[in-house]
Amino acid sequence: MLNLRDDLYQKFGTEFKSSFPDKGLLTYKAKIPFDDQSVETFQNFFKRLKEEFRFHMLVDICFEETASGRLAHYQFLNLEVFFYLQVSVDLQESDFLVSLSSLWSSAETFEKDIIEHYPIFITDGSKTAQRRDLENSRENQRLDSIPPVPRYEIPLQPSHNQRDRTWHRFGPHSAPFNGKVRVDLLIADNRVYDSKVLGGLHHRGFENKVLGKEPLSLTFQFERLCARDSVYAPLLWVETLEEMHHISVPDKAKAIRMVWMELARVEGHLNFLWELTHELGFYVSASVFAELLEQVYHLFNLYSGKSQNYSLFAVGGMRKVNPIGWGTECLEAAKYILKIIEEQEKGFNRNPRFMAVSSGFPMSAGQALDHGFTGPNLRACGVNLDNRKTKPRYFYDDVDFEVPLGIDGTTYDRFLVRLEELKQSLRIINQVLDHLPAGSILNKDHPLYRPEYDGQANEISMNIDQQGWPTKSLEVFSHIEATEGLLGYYIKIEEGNLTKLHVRSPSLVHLGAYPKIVRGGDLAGALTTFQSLSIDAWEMDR
Amino acid sequence: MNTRDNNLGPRQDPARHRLGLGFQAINRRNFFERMKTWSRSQLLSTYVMGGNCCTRELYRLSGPNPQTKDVRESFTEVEPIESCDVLIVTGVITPALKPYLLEAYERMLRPRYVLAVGTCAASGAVFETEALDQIMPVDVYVSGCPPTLDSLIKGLDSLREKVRLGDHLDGGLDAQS
Ligand code: SF4
Repeated sequence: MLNLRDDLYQKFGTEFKSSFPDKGLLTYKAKIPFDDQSVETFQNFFKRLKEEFRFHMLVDICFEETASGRLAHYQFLNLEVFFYLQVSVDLQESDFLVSLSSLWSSAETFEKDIIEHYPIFITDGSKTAQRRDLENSRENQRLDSIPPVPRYEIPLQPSHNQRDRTWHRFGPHSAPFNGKVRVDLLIADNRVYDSKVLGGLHHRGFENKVLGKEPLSLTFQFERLCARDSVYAPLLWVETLEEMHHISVPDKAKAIRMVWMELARVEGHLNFLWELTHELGFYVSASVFAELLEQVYHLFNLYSGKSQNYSLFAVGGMRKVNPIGWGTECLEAAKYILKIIEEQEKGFNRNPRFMAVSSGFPMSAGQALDHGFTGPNLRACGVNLDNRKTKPRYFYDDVDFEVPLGIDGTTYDRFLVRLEELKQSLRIINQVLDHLPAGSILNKDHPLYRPEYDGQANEISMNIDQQGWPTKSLEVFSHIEATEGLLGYYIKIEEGNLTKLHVRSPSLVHLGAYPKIVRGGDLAGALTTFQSLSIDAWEMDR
Repeated sequence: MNTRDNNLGPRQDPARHRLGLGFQAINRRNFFERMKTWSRSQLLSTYVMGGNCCTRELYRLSGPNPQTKDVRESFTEVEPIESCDVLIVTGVITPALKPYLLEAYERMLRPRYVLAVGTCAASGAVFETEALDQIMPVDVYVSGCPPTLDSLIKGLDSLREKVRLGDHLDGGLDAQS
């Protein structure tokens, strides 16, 4: 790891900063409009990062408009030493952002997301295209007046030589827990030739609404970010605040947080198994998974009185002590779930009927990394990347668990990887509950402590003057291994105010890659693949 | 009898107050009305719009929980919207969703019933958005963030009771504004 940091420092001198051992920050000043040469220099700079410094994964792009100009923040990951690098590009009021999709396919998804939300163009360097874009925009409407709401364009019917192909609407796809995503497929003879996807149809404006609020009240909002589980998003937020203020967490709270994280993973994977088996027509198995899901909801209910949005995590620990007997109940449920899952696994493993419908569209590890996949979808392609192992927090390095890997990244692999991960999560829960540390669950000795955390005050005492942000300026990209992949927040704080928040959602990446995966394949396989990517629309709706 | 044309429930039946109509005629009409609303309330077709976190709780109703058996027997989910009795709206009412909600409301079976699920739809407090009743008349609110399974079941039950009595707020959108 030190080598990479030194290399970067040698190459870029004081431009490169690194205050964390596994994170770095690099600034790049760009001058892009109407200058082919600067576009090339820009792309070469990133090419060097990829080839010399082996940042093979583009994790996220965050675009920011400030009073002084426009900024783009690129997050990269080096998979050999798990080093995160942020490159901040100062665009200096340019109307163009240079496309990096020739280097990383995932860039296309992020760039598409940016042009939907901000008045900016993406350029690949050709002057004519740039001029045309600018002139069009001047004729039709001024750049600034483009509304910040993405507009859905119905795809044009193909030209006369492809008259047999027609567009079919396959969405708004509404799987019970996955929200809504719009998908159109260009189909002829049961074959998919092209597809168009759009997520985030509701435009909640999540990222803008949280600005200017008190950080503690935001835990409540983050709990409602995603419809899949309400554990990872608020927990990451709370952890980020703890990291900013250097707040320690008692051991018992750490252990209980781990149990909750793994329960959320169990819930997420059971959801996935239920939806997939239901979609493929294995109704008996689907009802078995649905019943197991009820067991998990029952555990949530016992602890927090709710089956989602638990209001449990507080800065410095947990709000509620685990009720007496909850641990035993949890262990029993884990045992039961494990038994049923093992039975189901026997039925599905190498089941020819199941394999026939689920083993299309293989994906190589290189492709998956290029698309920016994370989580079980990446591991199904055979890449061993799990933040619980690479950057263990809490007691993850003390517990025994394995990271299951797939082979060719088909639906079948994704199914088996999740099934195995579910078993590993139950294993972690067993180990943690067997060795639950004693002591308190809340650290009260820090500036963000509020009496309502442990039920000492009934009303929420919001102190408006005390904003709770660190007074110094800060830029953080914090991330967590959520059920479906890397969930990350880019947070920027200037003079005690939150000025930018950006959510890196795994679903956006998986959805963005979908058209490329299914192009040229058969229709039934395309639908199954969509289901098996497990996309949550609410995560993208921000 | 066409449900669409005859969108007046027995309570708002103007025939009751009109002079010159015989007692029997009113009664027979009431009988048919009651018959109609009662039979409608036996199996209500619903259409869910919106989403966000509440949907998860809503879909638990169709799960294998014995508590929800009654609900499963008396409510079904339908497509297309033209054949739906009850519009269930959950989650955040964003400006982007609004036109679709209005369109769905236009195309529903008459008289129309609307159920607002969750604090978001009921008051818009969570994400500081519009409340559903600013857009269309709402018959039953189920509050909570998310509402518990019990309150959802209660909400659906009271909606069913309203349908049985023919007690609705559907005066059309113009009447509201
Ligand atoms: S009311 Fe609460 S649980 Fe329901 S959609 Fe709104 S935020 Fe989610």
